[in-house]
Amino acid sequence: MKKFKKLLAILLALLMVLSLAACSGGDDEQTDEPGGEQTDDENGGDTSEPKYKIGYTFPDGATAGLAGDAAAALKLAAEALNIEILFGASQDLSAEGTITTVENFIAAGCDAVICCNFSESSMVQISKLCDDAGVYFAQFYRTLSDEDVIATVEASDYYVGRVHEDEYGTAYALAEAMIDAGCQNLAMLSSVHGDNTYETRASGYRDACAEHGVNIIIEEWDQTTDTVTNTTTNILAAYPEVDGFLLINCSFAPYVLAAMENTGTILPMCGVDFDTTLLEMIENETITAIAGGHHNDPLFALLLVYNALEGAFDSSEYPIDVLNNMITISSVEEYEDYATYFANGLNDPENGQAYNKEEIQQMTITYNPDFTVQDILDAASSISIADVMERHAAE
Amino acid sequence: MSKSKRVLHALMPFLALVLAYVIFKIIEPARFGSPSGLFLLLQQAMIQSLLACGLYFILTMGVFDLTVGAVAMISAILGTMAGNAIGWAGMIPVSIVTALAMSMISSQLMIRLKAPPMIISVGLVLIYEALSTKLIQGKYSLPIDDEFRILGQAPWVLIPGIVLILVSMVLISRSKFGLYIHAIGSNTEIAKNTGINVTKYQTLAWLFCGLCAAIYGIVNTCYTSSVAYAQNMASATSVFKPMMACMFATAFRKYLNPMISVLIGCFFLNLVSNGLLCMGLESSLQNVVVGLAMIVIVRFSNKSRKYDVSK
Repeated sequence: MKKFKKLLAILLALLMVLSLAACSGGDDEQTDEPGGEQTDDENGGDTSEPKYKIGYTFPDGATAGLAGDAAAALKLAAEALNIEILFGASQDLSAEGTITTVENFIAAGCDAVICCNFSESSMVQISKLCDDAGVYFAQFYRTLSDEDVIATVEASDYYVGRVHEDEYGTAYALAEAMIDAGCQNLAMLSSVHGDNTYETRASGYRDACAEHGVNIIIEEWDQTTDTVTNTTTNILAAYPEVDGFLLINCSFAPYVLAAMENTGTILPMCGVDFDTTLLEMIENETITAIAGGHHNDPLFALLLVYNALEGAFDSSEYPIDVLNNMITISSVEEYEDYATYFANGLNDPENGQAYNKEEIQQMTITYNPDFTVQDILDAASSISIADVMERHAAE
Repeated sequence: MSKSKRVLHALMPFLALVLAYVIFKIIEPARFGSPSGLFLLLQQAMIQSLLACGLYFILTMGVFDLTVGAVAMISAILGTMAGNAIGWAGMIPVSIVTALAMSMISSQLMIRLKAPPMIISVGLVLIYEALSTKLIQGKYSLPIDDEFRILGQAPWVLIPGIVLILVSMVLISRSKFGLYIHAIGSNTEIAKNTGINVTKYQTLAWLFCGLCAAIYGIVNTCYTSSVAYAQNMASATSVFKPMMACMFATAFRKYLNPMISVLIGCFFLNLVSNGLLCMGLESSLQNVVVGLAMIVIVRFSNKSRKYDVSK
């Protein structure tokens, strides 16, 4: 019996180790680092020591779509700039989780950190941690809205800036597309309350509807992929006047569609963030309007902190506010171009992404003496599928 | 207890249902409680009952196993992959074998390791969720082929639930297996001393729960058209409603077959959620009411068990 217990204990330990290894992304080049994080040590054949170690709070492509594409862009940047990227151990959406990840990065000797804070309050503690450690930091996918948080974070000498999208304008435009499609009574579905990005998108939807005299009959928050099918089904049964769905996050789209199919009521819907079933949704015309593809936020944030480390900026320029363009796709052809030239980094790192190595290098003071912060601002604000194709399609 | 009191107790789950219906119907007469709306709620309840039937056997043994949701998820992911490749003949066996294998691992770790099962189940959930992330890597969720969607739609969505509830009813109240599970739940040591092979019956309970989780995973995936990975214990949340239904069933088990109460419990929780949604309450506030309902049910359950006698 004792032997059996020992065997079970070993088996459990082995399972845990294997699962952790499985989640590390599986790249041969990755090695363990202090602080429980993972490192990407690819340097494109450059045998010299990485110049900087930069922490990135998302895991290495363990999750799908946006995170996977962003990780591919960062790996290419690591090769181009001879830096080392430390990836977060897991995509913990809590404030504590993000703070712990940043603490681990600092303990692991990172020179800078780029973070996505799902809770705005966590930025106060992150700011303090980075100040104390003398580590530059920047946000991606998120901005600041709370005045107290803004005052604290922007007072930091190490807060380089943030990269985000016009979430409000994007949601506003999507709601207008729904109104153009004839919707008059909409239902809104979202995940958690309190996330600045989701709240801003909701404001965009609400304002567009209010200004066009369209009703949002019901808002349901805190949805998950587990609950959203039932919630949609119940909305369709209880609110027969609902004639369209506004999704804060488009990863719900397949589940909302399933509920509509189950009840035999197919209605228009729109949302932000490209889901991995985007092609099917466009082919079947089940989505009225969608925006997303903003996976270069982490790359721009990385370039901000890298250039800060290289002394490219005057600290009076902080915080640098980078507004990244959302991508819209409305046809199968556009999707194919997007999939080939824009979001194909996992299969074709050099030519399947918005920026290749040389272009990344040109957005740094190290390789381009004429570089200014305006180069990053212009790149982010002008990015589109056509722009990327123009630069890469001929290669 | 007099016969009339026993009948009254047996009717209480139904009365609770009727009371909830009447209250919401008075508050929201136009939106709440249409026959078609109730039928949709019944479909949702029937799907949750699939998981609750299996979970009841585990909970009756006094074990809170949070892995059941993750077992359902992983078996559904592998079943969907097999199903999309070779059809029903791939989906059903792969789902069931996966769930049984995972349940076997869970059961042996929880039975044989002298550590609280809750802690082992938390560890296993983290491992299983990490595995799910790896399996779906590159996608937010795994869509199922259209041919399978029929099982998620009425009337077919009701069939697995009806069959499993009938089987579970027989198992829990008309078999040696059900009797022993109750005995183990009442007092494991006494059950062991009376000659019951506790390990064997505990393992069988987990395997039955695994079978239920597999069927739940298949039907739920057909209902939602996709299966998603989970992180940060998210898979455990799918167990909460079935778990509450099991507690509901425990409260009335002396008077009514627990599997009927499980179905009523699932229906009751969906009815309350739907009523609150009709009133325009957000999900977070709905959870407050559902949470309060759970506390009341648990309280009632304890009161009922005070007078239980294990024979």
